[in-house]
Amino acid sequence: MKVLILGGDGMLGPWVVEALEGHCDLRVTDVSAIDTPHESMVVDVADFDQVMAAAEGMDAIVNCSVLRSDGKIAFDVNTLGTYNAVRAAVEHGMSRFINTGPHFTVAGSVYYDFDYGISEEVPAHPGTGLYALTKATGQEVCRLFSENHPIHILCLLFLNFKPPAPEPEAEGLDLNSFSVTFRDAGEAVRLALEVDLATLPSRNEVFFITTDLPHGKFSNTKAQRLLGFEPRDKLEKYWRRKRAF
Amino acid sequence: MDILITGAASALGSALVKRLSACPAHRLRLTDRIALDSRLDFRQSGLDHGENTRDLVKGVDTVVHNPLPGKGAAASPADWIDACTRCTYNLFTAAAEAGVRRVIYLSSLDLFLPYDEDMVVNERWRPRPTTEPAVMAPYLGEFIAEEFCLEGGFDLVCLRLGHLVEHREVEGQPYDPLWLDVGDAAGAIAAALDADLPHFAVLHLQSVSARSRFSVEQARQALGFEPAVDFSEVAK
Repeated sequence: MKVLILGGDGMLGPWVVEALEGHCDLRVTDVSAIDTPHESMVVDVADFDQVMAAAEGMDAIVNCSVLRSDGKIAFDVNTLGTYNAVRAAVEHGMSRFINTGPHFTVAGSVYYDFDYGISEEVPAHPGTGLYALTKATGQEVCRLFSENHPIHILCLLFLNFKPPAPEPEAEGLDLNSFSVTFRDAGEAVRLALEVDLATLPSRNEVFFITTDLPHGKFSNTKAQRLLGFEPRDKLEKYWRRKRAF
Repeated sequence: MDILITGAASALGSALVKRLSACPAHRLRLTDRIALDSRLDFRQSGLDHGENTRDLVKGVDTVVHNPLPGKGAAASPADWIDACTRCTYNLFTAAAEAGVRRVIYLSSLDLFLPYDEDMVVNERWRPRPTTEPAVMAPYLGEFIAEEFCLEGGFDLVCLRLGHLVEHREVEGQPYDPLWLDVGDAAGAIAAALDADLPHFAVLHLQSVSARSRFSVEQARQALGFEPAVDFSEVAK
């Protein structure tokens, strides 16, 4: 499979590249030049023509592009950029698109401040924060494209990326109830690229990508069931008292 | 009442200003991306992130936001998405910070065209926008507006409009079951300014005839909406 990665030099992108090496032929792009052994291009996702050119000859797109803070660029990247990327995938006849974002594109503060057992299937309420709302609007674009065109769009949601083992001073202090290691996150993307699309309930599926955690706040059950996601890193040393080890 | 009207240079904006400026109880502030020769308080703005947009809403009670990109048929997909998402977000962020009481967001009944024509679609049905930018982008603006309302920032009235026309301009043309006269739309918006509505209200507006596509019953009940033009005499 030939895979285009957008935002390949960001926080998550390099881990996705590492997880896909040996499994896919990669074209890695970002807004600046990347030092990579793979084919690479400079692509601004806000420019549709650039995205179209980058998507030429590809079988799938993984969108890792993100911008969090600037009031103009956040919309250009997270909302318009997602539109450009999905539109390019549709116009090139691709059947699979992987989008990424934070968990609060679905489960904003109206959920996580109050509730437990929160699943991916709740109606999206990201709140009005710039980052959450721009990514959520991009995810709505994904949903609409999948409902109107023959393309499967799998949205993988993350939040807190942690190293597999904490620094000694961080042991036993708990961690965010939506956490995963980068290598498990990259593995989830690989699984999303390889899953048999016929086994998915719809053309637009959202997955919480967190490791197995006891907090009862969020669950990765859906990713386990549909993608076969089995996180290697349980991050136990973060949330068990130090004396337990 | 102090009212900010965006898209004031459009035909709908002009009709709304004409109607509201006749009422001495209203003080109007107008804005648009393009210049407008007006004796009223007009401020040209692209609704960017920053002080300019914050100044627009200072002292305003109610905002009437028409999020269209203002380039007509020349608007690109990027224009549509930018106008309906980023600019809407900037305006609503400023409005929430300034304590604006009510926002009237103008959207489109095109969100429901994929439903079968014999379905009795109303405000309780889920929007099904296509990915055409002129259809999808106003829906994305609704999505943003609802988040601000949900956080309690201001009351939100989402008015989904049929296809705006001047009734004299469509004489002899094939009938469009979504036509809505600009004057009737302006009347409904004026009624929504101080109507007794819940914190979040959605209402559908279009002309009423035996052939019209969508029900306006909820707007009739909430706003007293009784469109004057049914187009049955002017269209084929």
